[in-house]
Amino acid sequence: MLLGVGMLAASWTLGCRRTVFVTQPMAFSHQRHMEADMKCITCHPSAEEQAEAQFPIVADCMDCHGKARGDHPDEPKVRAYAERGAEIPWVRVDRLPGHVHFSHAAHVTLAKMKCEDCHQGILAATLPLTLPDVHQTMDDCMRCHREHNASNQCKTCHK
Amino acid sequence: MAKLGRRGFLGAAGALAGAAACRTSRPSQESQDPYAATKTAVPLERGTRPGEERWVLTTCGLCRAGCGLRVRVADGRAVKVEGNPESPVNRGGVCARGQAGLQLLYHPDRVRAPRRRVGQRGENRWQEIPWDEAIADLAAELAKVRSAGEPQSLVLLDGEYAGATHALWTRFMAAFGSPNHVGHGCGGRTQITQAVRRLTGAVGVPSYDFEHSACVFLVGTGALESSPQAIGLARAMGRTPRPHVFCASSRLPRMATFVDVWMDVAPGTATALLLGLAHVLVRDNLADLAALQTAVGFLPSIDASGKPAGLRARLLAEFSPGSVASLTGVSAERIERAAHGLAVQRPSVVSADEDLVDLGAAGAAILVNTLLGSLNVAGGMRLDRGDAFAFPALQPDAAASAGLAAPPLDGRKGSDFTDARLLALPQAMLSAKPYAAKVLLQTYSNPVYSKPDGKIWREAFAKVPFVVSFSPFVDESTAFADLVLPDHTFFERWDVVETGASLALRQPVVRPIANTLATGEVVLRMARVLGGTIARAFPWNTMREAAVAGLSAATAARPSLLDDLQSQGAAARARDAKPAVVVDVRSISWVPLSAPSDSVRFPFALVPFRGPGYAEGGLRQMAWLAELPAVMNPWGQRIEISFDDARRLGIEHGDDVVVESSFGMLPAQAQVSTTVRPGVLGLPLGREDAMGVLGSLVDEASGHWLASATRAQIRKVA
Repeated sequence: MLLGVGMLAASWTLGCRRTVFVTQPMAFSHQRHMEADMKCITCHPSAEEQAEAQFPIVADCMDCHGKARGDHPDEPKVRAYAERGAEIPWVRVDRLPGHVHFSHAAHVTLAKMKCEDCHQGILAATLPLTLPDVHQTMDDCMRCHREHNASNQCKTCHK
Repeated sequence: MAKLGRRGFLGAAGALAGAAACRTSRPSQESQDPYAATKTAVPLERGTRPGEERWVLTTCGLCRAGCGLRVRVADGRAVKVEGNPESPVNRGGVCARGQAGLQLLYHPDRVRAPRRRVGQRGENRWQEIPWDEAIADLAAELAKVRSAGEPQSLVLLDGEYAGATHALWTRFMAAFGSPNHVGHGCGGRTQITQAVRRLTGAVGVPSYDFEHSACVFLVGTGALESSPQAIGLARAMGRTPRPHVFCASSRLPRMATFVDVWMDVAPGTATALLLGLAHVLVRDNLADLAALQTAVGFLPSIDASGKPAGLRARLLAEFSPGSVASLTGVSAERIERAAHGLAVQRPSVVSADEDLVDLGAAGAAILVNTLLGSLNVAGGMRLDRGDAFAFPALQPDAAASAGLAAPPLDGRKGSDFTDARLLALPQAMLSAKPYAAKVLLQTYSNPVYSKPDGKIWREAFAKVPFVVSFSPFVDESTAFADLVLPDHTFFERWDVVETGASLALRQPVVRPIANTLATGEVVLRMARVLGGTIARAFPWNTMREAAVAGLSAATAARPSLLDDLQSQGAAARARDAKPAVVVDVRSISWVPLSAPSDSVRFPFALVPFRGPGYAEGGLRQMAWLAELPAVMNPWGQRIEISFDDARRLGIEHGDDVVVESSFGMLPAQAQVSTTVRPGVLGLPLGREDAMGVLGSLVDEASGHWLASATRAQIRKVA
């Protein structure tokens, strides 16, 4: 009974938060890439300059994975996508509502925040994300803005 | 009631948990998002990184101001519109209409592919067809009339007056052989362009340097609400010190808070008021002497018949402040004060630049600017066009020359586009005199909706065997078309936009979101299908090629022009510091309207105006505009009435009323206002039925609509 009620509560809570479980096309380890001494902006190149951080296209992956670099069974998939002329169909998991404007550049470049301040646990992730990894609510945003003397005017985010 | 045991409870809980778990597997987060309609995923172009952002420079197309825009494109989708700081027109500002352009681009009701009518006209039953077939259909109809020796029976209603697409149409009509390229006034500013051409010989629309003016005199409220001047005036009002502003109009809008002096002029008498200002400037030796000496027809002279001529003598004799006061209802003292204000606070400028103002007022405004020495100076009115968009000269073939020699259907007196007499066209189509219209094309036009007496347009359409619309929406006029060739919106196409102050580039911000095609491209493809001399007149493969070709003369004189347009989006026109301008004032005259025939039954003058949300399609395509507090018309027809008149008639603010003219009746809600002249009803345009109460009354001399000439009565609904 406890299991049933627990599942009910958990799924209801998740449902209220509109969480979507997604299936990613292949394995990807952020941790492994960080260990290879890569920086976040290597694959997300506009995080310091634009509102959106960008995601890599298969041509970017092929810069390193054009030749086999390891023995992971999913690695050849990268080359297979490239040979077919297709992009890897990653599914985006973090998405803001349409009425919220968020700028990575404002947070990374101006406020000098680290990526992992919001994307908690991303550096140690060994699998691609199937759930949103940013769990900030409007209260969290406003608290942080207050603590760092950033504007909390409505139009700062809702514009 | 059945008792729920332990087993039953677990079963029910499991079922609930399962159902709840299913709830989390909804198709997508976005579909639950109330804003999802504005965030539909767009397939990315190859090589584009997800999350990639671009800022694209382009030019707005929602009015004729031609403001430069910067549009943020994220994930292949246009998401934000800002002003382009490099644009000489708006210098980074952008109005609410420009911001709402995204709603036009992504509107769900856009025509998404070419269509052929399958039901009766107006029945709204269509069949989608491929572009090649649609263009072949149109070309076949055109070839039919041309081979029958009747190229003049092609009529084009064109709502644009400048730019590459307009230039392509002008060239096509000349190559095809039809004199019936008919423009219209909605935002087209045909009055001012016609007045400029008559008085100075210059071609094109003027611009106004409000930002550097010390004193501004506005005729009509367009510059405060909806005209292309609004953005420049708004910028001027943000400066310190800002210009002193006079406004001569029968009503003032809500956003006129910065108007310093309201001159509540009687409808239809603005020309007399401006001539009264000219009288004071001349009488008190405040006028620019050089301008007076060079002006044609101003100083006393003897005309060909031996009679004394010269506007100066007429001004001094007929337009004294006292006599003008009796005509206009504005006191002589205020007229004197306004004239002295314009003379003392230099530079000063007069603007009578909207299509609801008479041609006479547009000409009189140029006269007063001449007297003030305000032509082609900083803070004044600029008439010189400088470098311009133009294609190489065209040699029509014999068939085209014969067609072009036919009298235009609208009965225009000149041959220029701005001479068009649009309101005469439906009657000519109905009577088939001097000949019948066989093919009607309409681009940037919706006359059934936007012109007075729209029903006559419906009847006229019925007489034309083949009607084509290029509208991206099925509007009131498109509903009567046989073929719809949907245009891109301005965010999807190439064009060159000419304004008084700048040349600007319009370039695609996003890929076309539907199977639409820029009308300029249709012209090029249609010409290729028609072949012969027509095809040879259009040697360009794409709209972009044509746009670059049209700029070749300008780029020859200014090699960096194309680079400037690409990198900045817009470039100020290259022109002399102060080109000499000779003003010919002989065409300026003013004749009061004849007294209304039934002034007892219809005691009010009905004065139409357009709010900031007005477009040829009204507010319907851009819902954001309906939310503006300044737009008073979105959720029901309003009518403005003065406080005194309302009290006399027992009407209170918000009362349901009926407005009646000899042309129709209009239910409305009363807006009692202290900024409406007694005896005037202010009629906001934008709703479908507003035009039905206005008469199609025309100034015979110019062919323009006398917008404020309709008389009406108002009564409260019991």
